[in-house]
Order: sequence, then C-alpha cells, then structure tokens
Amino acid sequence: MTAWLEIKDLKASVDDKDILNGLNMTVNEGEVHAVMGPNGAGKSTLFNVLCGNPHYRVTGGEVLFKGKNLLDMSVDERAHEGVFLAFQLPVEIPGISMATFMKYALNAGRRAKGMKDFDAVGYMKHVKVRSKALGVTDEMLKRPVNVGFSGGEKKRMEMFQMAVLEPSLCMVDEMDSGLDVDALKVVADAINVMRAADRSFMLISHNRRFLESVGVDKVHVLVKGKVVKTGGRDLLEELTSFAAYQEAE
Amino acid sequence: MADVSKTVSAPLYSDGAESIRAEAGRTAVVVDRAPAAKCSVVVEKGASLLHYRFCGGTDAAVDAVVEEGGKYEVLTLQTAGGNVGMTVSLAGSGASCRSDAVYVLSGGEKGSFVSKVAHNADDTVSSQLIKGAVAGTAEETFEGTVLIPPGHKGIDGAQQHRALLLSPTATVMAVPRLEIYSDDVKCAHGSAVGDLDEYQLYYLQTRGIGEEEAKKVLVGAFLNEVTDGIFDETLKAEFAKRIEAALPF
Amino acid sequence: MTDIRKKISAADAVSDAYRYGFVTDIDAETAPKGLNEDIIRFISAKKGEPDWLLAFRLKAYRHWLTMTEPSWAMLSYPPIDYQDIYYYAAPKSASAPKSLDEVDPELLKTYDKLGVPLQERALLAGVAVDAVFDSVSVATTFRERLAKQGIVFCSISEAVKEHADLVKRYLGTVVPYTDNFFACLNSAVFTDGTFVYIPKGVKCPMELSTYFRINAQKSGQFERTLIVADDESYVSYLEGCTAPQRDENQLHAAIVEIVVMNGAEVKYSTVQNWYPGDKDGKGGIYNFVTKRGLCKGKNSKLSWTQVETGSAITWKYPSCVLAGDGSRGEFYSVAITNNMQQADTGTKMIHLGKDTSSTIVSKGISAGRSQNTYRGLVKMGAKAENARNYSQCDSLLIGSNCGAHTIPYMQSSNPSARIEHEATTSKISDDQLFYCQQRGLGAEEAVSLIVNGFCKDVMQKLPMEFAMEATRLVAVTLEGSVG
Repeated sequence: MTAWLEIKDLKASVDDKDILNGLNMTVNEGEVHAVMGPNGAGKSTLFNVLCGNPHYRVTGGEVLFKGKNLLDMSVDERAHEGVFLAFQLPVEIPGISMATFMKYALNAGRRAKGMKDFDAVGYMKHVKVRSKALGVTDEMLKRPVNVGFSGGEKKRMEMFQMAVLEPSLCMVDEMDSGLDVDALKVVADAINVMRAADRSFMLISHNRRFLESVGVDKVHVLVKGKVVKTGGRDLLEELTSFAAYQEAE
Repeated sequence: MADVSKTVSAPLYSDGAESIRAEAGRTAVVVDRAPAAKCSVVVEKGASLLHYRFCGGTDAAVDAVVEEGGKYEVLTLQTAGGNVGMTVSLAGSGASCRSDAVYVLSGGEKGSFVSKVAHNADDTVSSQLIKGAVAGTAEETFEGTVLIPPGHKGIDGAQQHRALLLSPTATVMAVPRLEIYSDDVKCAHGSAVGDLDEYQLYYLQTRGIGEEEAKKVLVGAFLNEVTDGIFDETLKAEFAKRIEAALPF
Repeated sequence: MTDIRKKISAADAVSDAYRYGFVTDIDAETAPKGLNEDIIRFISAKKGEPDWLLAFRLKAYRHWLTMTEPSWAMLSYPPIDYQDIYYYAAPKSASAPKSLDEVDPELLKTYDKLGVPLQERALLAGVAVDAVFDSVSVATTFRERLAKQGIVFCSISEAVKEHADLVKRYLGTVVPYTDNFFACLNSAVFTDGTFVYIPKGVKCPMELSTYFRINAQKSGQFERTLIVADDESYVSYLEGCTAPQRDENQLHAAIVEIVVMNGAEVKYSTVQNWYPGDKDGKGGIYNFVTKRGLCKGKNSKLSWTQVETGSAITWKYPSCVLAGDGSRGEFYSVAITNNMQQADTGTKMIHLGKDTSSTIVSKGISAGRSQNTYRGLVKMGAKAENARNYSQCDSLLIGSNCGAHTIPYMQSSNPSARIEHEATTSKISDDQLFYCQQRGLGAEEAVSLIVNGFCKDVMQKLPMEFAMEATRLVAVTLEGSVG
C-alpha cells in the first residue's frame, strides 16, 4: 500500500540554517497524527515546508501526496490538492471580511477542479451550516480577516476555514499556546466533527488531554529536524520529558 | 571646534561648535547654546551621541552622518525666528536617529524648521517628534522629509508633528513628506494643528486656576512631552525655563 | 499592445498629409496640427459659438503664451511639443479597425475581464464606424425624463446656445484661465464637455453619466465640464469608465468646475483608465486635469471619489473651496500605478467659511517601476472658525522598484480650526500573501484581494455599479506585478 502522504528524507533550511535534516514520515488516509518534540526541533518548519512557504528552502528529499509530487506544486496548487494549515499566528487582512475571503478561496478551489463558482445562495448555505456548528457568529463573519480577534477567536476562525474548505490533509500548528480550556475544546470538537475516512490530521501539541480527546492514531517525535521515534497512542503516556530523545548526532 | 573624544556622562557645553564627532563605541552628550550656521556631526560606528541645541534668532543647520550601529539623538529648541535645519544621513546598517524639536514663536517672528532624514542603509530606524506653539502674528513653517532610496530593507521611519495656534493671527504651515523608493519599509507620519482643548482649559479653571495660567500650564504640558525624556535634570530644567520665557503669557 | 501602437503611428503618417496646404475653410472637417489664434477662431466658428465665448478663448490663449509649464510635480516626461498636436477633430485614421475582428485580441480580453457590454466594445476600441450602437434613442428618452424636472444635462456646446446665461455666469469662475498652465490651455481650446444644471430643490433621480451624452467619444482631449447645483438640490455624476480607452491624442487637459449652492450636494465619481502606455511607458496618455468645486452656499457639500488606474502621467488635484459656512468637502481616492506609470495626484481643501469640514482618504498603490505621489493642501483661512479637517493617506508598495511619496501641505491661520493628518507606507507582507495562497488563491488573485481590502474605505464611497467595475479594474491593473 502506497502511503497517502509520504515524506522521504526531507531537508530544509531557513536563512541558511538547516532545520529539517532528513525527515521521514508516513501518514495514511483517515488518520490523526501528533507531532511532538522540543522547541526548535522543526515541527512548525515541517508544516510550512509541506505548504510551500517561500521563506523556507527545500534542500533535499521528496514528498508524495496522493501519489503526486507535492514539492513541485505552488502554494495554491497544494491547497487545491487538499493541503490546509491552521496557523499558529494567523495574519490580518484589513478591509476584507472573513465571509468574502472564504468565498474567494472556495471559488478558486472550485475553478481549479473545473467547477463553476458558488452562487450566492449556495455559498451562504455552505457557510451557515459550518459557522453554526463552530460557534461563529454573523458578526465575526463580517469582521475583516483576523483584525481585532483575540488569540482564541483566531483559532476558532482557523477551524471555521478548515470546515469551509474541506481539506484532506489538515495541519494544525501549536494549538495550545496561550489558549484557554474552552477554546481548546472548540478545536478538539472541530477536529472530531471533521474526522473522515478520506481526511487526515497532523497536530503539533504538547497537551496530552487535548491529544487524547481527539483520539490520536500515531505519535511522532521530532528532534533536530528528524523523526526519532514513531509510536501509537500508548507513546503519549511514555513521553514525560523529551530529554530522552535529545541525541547527539 | 569641539571634539568629543572621551566617554562623558555629564553634558559637554560647546557653544557654536562647527564640528562634533562621537568616536567609535563611545557615548557623548553635547549641548550647544549658540548653534553655528553650519555644524557637521559624525556618529562613528557603534557610537551614541545626544545633542541638544538652543536655537533662536539666527539660522542654524546641522548636517549629520550616522555610521553602522550608531545612534544619534538630537533635540532642538527654537524660541525665536530664523531658519533651523537638520539633515541626517543614516549611512550604515543598523544606524538609528531620533530627531525631536520644540518651537515657540510669538510677536512677529518668522521661523522655519526643515528636517531631512535619509535612510541610506539597511535596518535603519528613525523617529521624530516635533511640537510647536505659535502666538502673536508669528509664522512657522515645518518641513520634514523622510527619504528612503531604492534597494534598502528593514526600514522603520516615524514622524509626528503637532502645533498649537495661540492667537487668531498666528500661522503654521506643515509639510511632512515621505519619499519612498523601497518596499521593505514601515513608515508612518502624522501631523496635527489646532488649539488648546477647551475642556481641559475649563477643567483647570474649575479647579481655581486663572485662564492665563491655565493656558501656560497646558501649553507647557503639551510641549514638555518632547523634553520629558531628557535624563539630565539641569538640562531638562533649562529647556523648561526657556520654553516658559518664550511663551507670550 | 504593439498592434495598436503601429496603428497610431500609421494614423499619424496619413494625417501629416493634411498639414500642408491648409486654408481657413469652415467647411473643412479638420484643422491641421498646431496652435495659434487662427485655429482657435476656426474651432469657435465651427461650433457656432457666440462672440463672448471666442473672446474668452482668445484671452486665455494670449495669457497661455506668457506661462511656463509647471515642473514641481514628481513627474518626468519628455517635453511636449504643443505645436505637434491636433486641437480640433483629429482625422480618422485610415487604418482604424473596421470591426471588432480587427481589434487587438488582448484589448478584447481586457474588455471581457472588466465585463464591458458588447455594444460598447467597438466604440471603445475606436472602430471607424459611426452609429456603432443605438445610443441616440436611449440618450434622448433619458434627457426627456430629466427635462420634465427642469434638469439640464447636455453638452457644453449645446448649453452655450440654449442656456447661455447660466454658462456665462459660471464658466471660468471656479477655475479661472489664469489658474495654471493646463487650465489656461483648456480654456483656449476646449472641445466639448458636459453641462449640468439642477434647479432649486430638485434631487436628480438617477446617476448622470457621460455615457449618455451623444458624441462622448470625441471629447476626451480637452474636455470642459460645468455642473451647477442650485439651492437644496442633489446630483450624483459619474465620469469615465473602466475599459482602457486608447486615444490618438496623447495630451489630455480637462477642466471640471462645480458650483454648489445653499444646502445642495454634488457627488462626483471618476473611474479613469486611459491607456497607460506599454511596459516601457511609451505611448500612454498624459492626463493633466484641473477639477475644482466651489461650495458657495451654506451647508453645501461636494464629494470627489476617484479610482485612477490608467494614463502614463496623471496630474490632478480635485479640490474644494469651502466658502459657505458649514460647507463640507470630501476626497476619496485610489490611485494605482504599475509598469512605468507616474501619478502626482491629490487634493486641495481650502477652508474659508466657519464650521466647514473636510475629509481626505487617499490610497496609493505602486507596482512595477512606477512612481505614485500624493500631494495635498489643506488650508485654514483666518475666518475658518471651528473648521475641521481629517486626512488619511496610505501607500502600498508592491515590489522593490517603485516609489510611493506623500507630500501633504497643511497651513493654518485660525486657532480654532483643527487639521489632523496621518499617513502610512507599507508593503504587502509575505505572510499575507502566503496565507491567501495557502487558502487556494493564486498569487495575483491574492494581491488583488489584499489591495481591494486596502482600498475598501474608498471603494465603498463609489456608486454601486462603479464599485463593482472598479474592483475588477484593480485586478486587471495589477496584472504582472507579482512574481
């Protein structure tokens, strides 16, 4: 069975500093993976490289997603393939409401598949169902993208975007930095609602309770840009500290 | 000719200096109570120069060059007519300058404050706070140019100008200019002209302070925002005294 | 765009044949290139103008000869040869396209992107067929409806004959011929334009647009517009269109004068996309415009809204003279420059009366190797008690080879008047671009979304139909600016 997402020996650097040093990882369809490790291990970098952030330079390796070469595609092409990143610190875009932003994104995806743009009614329906499910109010939809949102609200809106765009590979970056318990619950609930046989999640988190509530299938530990250990759910209990995994290369 | 060649914590008084140089890695404080028509300033690599000028009645221009990592902080007080100039070239990477000024004109005085800050290197920062009060039939022209030539990055330039008109026959002309040829730039400027807040005046009077004194207090408070940061108490008092003497009430 | 340039130079070659052997003959359809009193008399006679108007033109022309072209703007262009221009009815080029099939497919693609109605495309592309679309009947019924309320909406040439007293009373009072070099030139050689008069208490029921004026296509060069809004009246006027208009005449020097009486309100919206020249800046239109409104009456109001994306050179400062107590001026502008375009544009708010107020919101976007300058003047006169001004000027830079400049002049001689100005300059952050692309938007679509967000405060002031077109226009103008 060819893996759905296959990362082979991935190397990447930023500002001439090597961050990923030959990373190997496999994710199958319908799975939830936790990505853990000390600060600076390369977790966020991995997610950004998978999305094609131009700030990061790929210096070696290969990534196959659904059998296609992901590294060859542009950022938006990868999004059309179904790659999604819920950002740790989502950027603000003044003057454009979240509702308008999602409409543009959704229609860009539809066009890439040869479909017609959503008509106004169809779009509203699509959005309403999801905003209700995630506790996103009409007022929040009208606000310019991420402007004036608290940290927790921004995370909620990232989950909302995930629900609207229906990606197949959802990467969630550092969900638990500075979040209150209720917001964490919103994220966990969103993930649980969106779990599907043709959708996978990769989560960066240190919060055991959060990871347990979403039901993790596999756990990867990253140290110095490499996966040093991969295990199942039981690995979560073993991970009391990361010191055991700091290896001198 | 004044050469500041040793680290000083107490200000060095050098009236009429035509050349000031802060040597590499050193900190110097220079006070000029009778600025020359032309004074050239050099802040060498990693040096720090605090420069205070008391201008009034004659033309006085400064031409400053700030080298790599250098810091130039200059505060100019103009209490009589005349053309005061301030040209700063941030010539080395990491150079910064803070150029503040206070002007107080009354009677029939005519003055100008013309400043130009050129960001001629990467990662340079400039900030300017200019505040003035004009009374009688006096006229002040403020022209502040921030110039960013092509090919530089990491630039941050900020400028604020605020003026109070204290009589119906006083005039202020303000021209804050931004000339920007690079895109890795964060630049903001603001300028406002008006009179004293009537509610503030009223408030002071309800506390028993007479109108004339209330105006003095408010104008003083308005202008002192610029001089508040002077570390040397004697110097700070000197500024306050001269400002008070220049005010028409 | 090379096909069009070829056509323009071919046209010039043919027209030069007319230059020699010219005789002041009223029956001639065209005048040769060049400017002198003869040509002006010819123009005036051709239009059947009354003596007072000819005198107006000649006075302006004689004064123009004593003036020098202004050079203080941040614009650089090769010297204009004023004798190398047609001042009346440039001859139709023999090689003008005879149908849409002969028009540059790139141009047609742009019309498509902008949603230009099919029947307008031929007109805009300069197809050499006269009654290209049946606008005559549409325009006449429209005017009949307006006439029932006493609203006058016609060409200046007509107004000079049918409403001479009104024109005579106001023409040149808001922008006198002495005002500036280009206004003076216009006063001497203006070809045609719009005249609007709204009677007392009448609120014009529809947006007036130049589209409905017959023979609109010829007048772009030295257009002259005069709008008079009598007490308590209202009118919203739309100028221009989003489709790129090529014009064989490169120099445009227009004047717009507006007079607003007691309690009246005029909204003037412009979407301008004159041909900007090729990627190297050759062949674009030079647009030197003087637009000014006099808020004469108490509590009168004038608002200028503009989206400027075209022209190789733009020089315009729509202004308000706030004479009437309580009057209000507004200026909302989006100016986009790409490739080698240059724009030096802004506004002047002159506060003379008490309790007057003005708001300025200017958004400048520079891309390519262009230069975009905001130049403004806010002046508080000695009698402007309690006047208020607020200005917000923001610039956005796309790419590292362009320039964005902000030069606001603030002059105050009244202590109770308040001026507040804020300006920022920034670039589209890589983070914003990456975020949009990660959500599936292509790089160019991301830029146009972010730019539209940046311009939102101005776009929402436009009448709805213009706003939708303007949004699309922003995207088309910024093509090729990323990557």
